[in-house]
Amino acid sequence: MVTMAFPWTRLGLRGARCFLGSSRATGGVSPLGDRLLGFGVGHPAKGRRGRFVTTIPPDVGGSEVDVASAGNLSMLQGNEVDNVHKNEVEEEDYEAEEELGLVKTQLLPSSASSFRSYVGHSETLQKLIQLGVDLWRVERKIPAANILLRLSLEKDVQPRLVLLQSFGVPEDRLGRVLTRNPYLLNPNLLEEKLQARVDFLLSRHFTRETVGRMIGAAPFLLSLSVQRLDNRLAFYQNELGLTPRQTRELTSRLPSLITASLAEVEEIMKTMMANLGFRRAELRALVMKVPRILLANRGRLIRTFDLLHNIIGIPHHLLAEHPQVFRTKLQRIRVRDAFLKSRGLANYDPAHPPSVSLERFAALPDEAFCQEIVGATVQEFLAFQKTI
Amino acid sequence: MAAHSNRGPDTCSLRLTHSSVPSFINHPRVHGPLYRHIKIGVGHRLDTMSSGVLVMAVGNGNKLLPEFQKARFTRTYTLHGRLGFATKDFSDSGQVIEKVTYDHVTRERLERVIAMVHSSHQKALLTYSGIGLSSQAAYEMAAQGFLRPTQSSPTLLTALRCVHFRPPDFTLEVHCVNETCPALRRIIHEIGLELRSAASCLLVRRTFEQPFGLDDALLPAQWGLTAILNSIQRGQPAVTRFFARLLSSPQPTSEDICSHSSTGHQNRL
Repeated sequence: MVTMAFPWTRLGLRGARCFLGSSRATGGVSPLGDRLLGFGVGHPAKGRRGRFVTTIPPDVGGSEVDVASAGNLSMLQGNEVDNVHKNEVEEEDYEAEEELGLVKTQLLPSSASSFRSYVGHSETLQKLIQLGVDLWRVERKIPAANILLRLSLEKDVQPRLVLLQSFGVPEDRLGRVLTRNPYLLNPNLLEEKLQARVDFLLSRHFTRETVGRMIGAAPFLLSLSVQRLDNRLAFYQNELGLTPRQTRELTSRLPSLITASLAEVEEIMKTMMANLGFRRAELRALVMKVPRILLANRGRLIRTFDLLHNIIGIPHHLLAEHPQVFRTKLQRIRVRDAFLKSRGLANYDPAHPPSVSLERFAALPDEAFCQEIVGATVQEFLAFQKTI
Repeated sequence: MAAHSNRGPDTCSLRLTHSSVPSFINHPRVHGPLYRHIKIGVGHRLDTMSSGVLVMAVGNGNKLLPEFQKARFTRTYTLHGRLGFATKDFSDSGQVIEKVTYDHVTRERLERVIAMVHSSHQKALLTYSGIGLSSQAAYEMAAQGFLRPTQSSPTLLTALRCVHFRPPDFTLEVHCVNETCPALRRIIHEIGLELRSAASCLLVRRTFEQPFGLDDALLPAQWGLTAILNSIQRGQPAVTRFFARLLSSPQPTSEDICSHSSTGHQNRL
């Protein structure tokens, strides 16, 4: 087997972009020496074609081609072709072909934008899959993919899993957490830092179980420093005028409020108070009932309010009491209101019975809505929808 | 992969068989969703303020869509209008320009105006169909209602009638060709002008687009894989008939028609 004397030449031939990418990612010198690999095989899925610079995973080493470890049929065929070819080719031609990448002397493909090339050979990746990590999601994040390939099962992954479980993350959530935030496996992110963040939350009187649940629901929580966590909790407390207990309740019910873009949340709050005309106390009540409104799409929120308040005519105090309507699809509101109007039942004000509760109007599935509120069949409802 | 080699006297032959070995490459967490992009196309678009039947094509069915458009079959719409005000974009949600009384508008007046509109569109149809006005062929085609524009034309109504009149609201049913929803709203506006009043369009609703009607349409609540597949299957004979009609006119060809067309129903927002 011809040794790879200097891999840089091969990378150079593949194109300047290759070269730049690899040096940037590893800082020039790879811990595994001269086995630096390069770039981009096409991926059938469209979208961002990432490229990651990889080193051969530590647990694979320099083993021979194993026929039984399936998948790389093309490589096998490639080798067979090369064997036949070698007899006919001279020394200089062989080196030239090697430079052009015709001879596969490596076990793993030298470039990949997908984990599929490596998964058959890496125990770490296989264990992560069994844990429930979606590698197809992680491979879209290039730095995260690089990190995952360099991990060692015993040294990096297992201690980190134990740590996450000690924080209270439920076992069945570990896969989901690591899929969304694979940087939690980064060896550069020290255990002490993660522990400090969890300790901070515990010091704010979140229970250990709640913290575990919050991490499970919003995995980026642990990537925020203590300072940022503090700032974000304070943001909600100040903007909405909440007590500490209410802040805890709000953020533990919807932990992604902490990891969300605060600028957008502030935008929503301002919209609701200035544009839509809710008072601060109404906004507080609204948000405590349905926290997800703060993460809504601003345009859709305005359109929903326009339909509910200006066209259907529901006043503010009713909307603040039953904020589920803001989470309902525009289509559903319009169609259900039209159906109720056609039956003369479109009264939402509980002060003038008989009225329809907005909560049930929004939340009930079609069958229940038709039977209980309107007294019609679903077929009639669907037929009605085709007339509007 | 197993290899069996026979060493004959002259040649060395290799017989290869293959067997599957479970591999992580086939694991769903490695390859992800199998279908990421499904091509879906629409026949003739409806704008966001309109409702009704939308013929949609999935995958290979998209290749049939140009044929649908070239055929220039008429589409059926229900136009809901309201007397008394005129708006900038001719719909009820636009900026109101004018408010006019409508007490003088009777059904008879409306029918007369509609007849007038119909006749002007008939004349336009004759022009755009490219047939000489004073020929027997033109007369026969017009009499049988086969006139169609040969090139791109403005919105042309081939049939028009009033199905409901209760001032200030009225409803028209129209059959049209080369139409756009704003143009249909404009027709309501113009009818208002002809009535010496003002009218705006409340709703443009498509009830029929060849060969699918309201009964075949799936509502958004019904949009699911099984429902769509069933709809495609149910629509198969209709589409085949449609193309048989198309192909039967000038030159019949013996193409195998395989369709993947389904129908959706859009409700205005």
